[in-house]
Amino acid sequence: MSMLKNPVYRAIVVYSDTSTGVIKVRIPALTGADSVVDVSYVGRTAYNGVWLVPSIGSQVVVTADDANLTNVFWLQVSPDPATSLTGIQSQIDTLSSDLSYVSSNLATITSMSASNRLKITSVENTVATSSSDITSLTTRIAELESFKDASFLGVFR
Amino acid sequence: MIFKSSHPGSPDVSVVISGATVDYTTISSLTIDVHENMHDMATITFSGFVPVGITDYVGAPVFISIKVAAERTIDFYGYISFIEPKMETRKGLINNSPVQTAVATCMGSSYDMVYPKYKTWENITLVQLVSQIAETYGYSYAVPNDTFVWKRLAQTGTSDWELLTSACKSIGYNVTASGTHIHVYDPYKAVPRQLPYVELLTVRGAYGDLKYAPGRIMEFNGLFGNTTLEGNVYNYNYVGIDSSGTVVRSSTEDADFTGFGELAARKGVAEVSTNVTSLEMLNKLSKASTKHNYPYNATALVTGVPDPVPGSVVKVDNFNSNFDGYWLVRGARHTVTRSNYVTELTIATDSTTGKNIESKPGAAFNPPPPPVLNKDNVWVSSLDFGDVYA
Repeated sequence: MSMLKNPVYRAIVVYSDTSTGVIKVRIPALTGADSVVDVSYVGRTAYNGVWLVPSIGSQVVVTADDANLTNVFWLQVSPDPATSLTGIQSQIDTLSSDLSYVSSNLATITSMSASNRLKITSVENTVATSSSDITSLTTRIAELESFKDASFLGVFR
Repeated sequence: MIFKSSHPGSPDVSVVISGATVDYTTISSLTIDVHENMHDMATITFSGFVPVGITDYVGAPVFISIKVAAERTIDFYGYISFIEPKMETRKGLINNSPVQTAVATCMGSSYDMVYPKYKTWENITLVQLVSQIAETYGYSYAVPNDTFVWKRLAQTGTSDWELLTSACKSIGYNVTASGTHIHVYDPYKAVPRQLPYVELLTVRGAYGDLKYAPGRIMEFNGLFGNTTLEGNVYNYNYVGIDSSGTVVRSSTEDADFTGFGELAARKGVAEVSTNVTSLEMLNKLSKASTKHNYPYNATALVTGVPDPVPGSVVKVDNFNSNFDGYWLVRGARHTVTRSNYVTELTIATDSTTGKNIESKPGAAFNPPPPPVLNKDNVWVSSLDFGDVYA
């Protein structure tokens, strides 16, 4: 199978999708104005479910593995931040939203925690008072017990 | 009819140049050339040419017919592509014309398909490719029902004709476009295809009968061996990488040949690395690799015989040799003058007469409808006709 005359060609992106990674291009210098070809997935990968794709209408550089353009490859020398920002910004927005939700929950929980702490202190005070009362009552009961014994023995006759 | 002598073997020859004034008596000779994977071609040589014709004839539709008997004819439909007049004052006037000789070269009607195009064909089968191209030009077609799918065919500055022939050749088929009929065929199934068959007799084969008959061998020039004008004859090991990234392999087999007799041994194994979409594609390329290069090749100049066309089988009988037997016709050139009609056949085989011809399954050729000129003076098929055969 014969090879391409030139190693690389400029192409115009007619369709791209960050969720599927599909890229369709026209290569006017090679296949005329109307033919649209798919760009191969070989050498490309999705990051966090998002494909890095060129924007529609932009110009990219492509090559192919034979003269029939059986596989067309997007020659991407380095990631283009402007192109990749769309996907990353979307993820940042999602994470920010999650973060504010978690922060809101945390504030609520902190507030509830402080309120509960006051109640615990009050209960602890109540318990301490009750313990003191119990001690006094125990002492009085002991006195009364001694009075009862003395009465039986006729101490007070 | 322009030439006809009193000799019983003299063919009936007709030439019609549409839309131009022609003095047919000035035609001194003509040729018709048909060859696999090439446009049909014809030449008309005039002696004493009407000067106005030098420019008027260019592009004119042409019909030429050479007929030796009922149903034994070769027809050419095409256009005058260019004219080469020769004017030498010192030779005076011939047929009252200062143009002493002129040769009009005519290309077959398939020459309509030579304009370069840029496009891609996606997920296309052979039948779809041939039928779509035929429909574009108003042609009829006959094509094997091959289910192989090209993921993509790129037409990058090449003509429909070039795309068609290269695509067919790549998977082991030959193409002819005679008249307005595109015929795609497998050379290894030439026997069941049943294109016109003739026997080419040597002096020995004719048992000393020297009476004139079509197809008597006058000259035979052979080239025998694994080194041929088209390259060496090998077996092949193919290796490639498919679309999923798997390395795939395929090899030619000795069982794969014309079956005309016993296979002439292929010497050596050539390795080919290529790019494919699937193992099926690699198998196609591998099997095709032996179909365009034969170890036994010859040109046989025979008394005029109009029947054989590319894809026909002829029998060479006999040189009392191992190459007697069946040969595949790859091309035929018919030359008619006012005194003779000869045919030069380009033939090839990969077999010796070691065993009987092998019968392979296949379908016979159905004659296509004849061409007609449409209102734009372009040859088109007179009927919609598409034969997708087994």
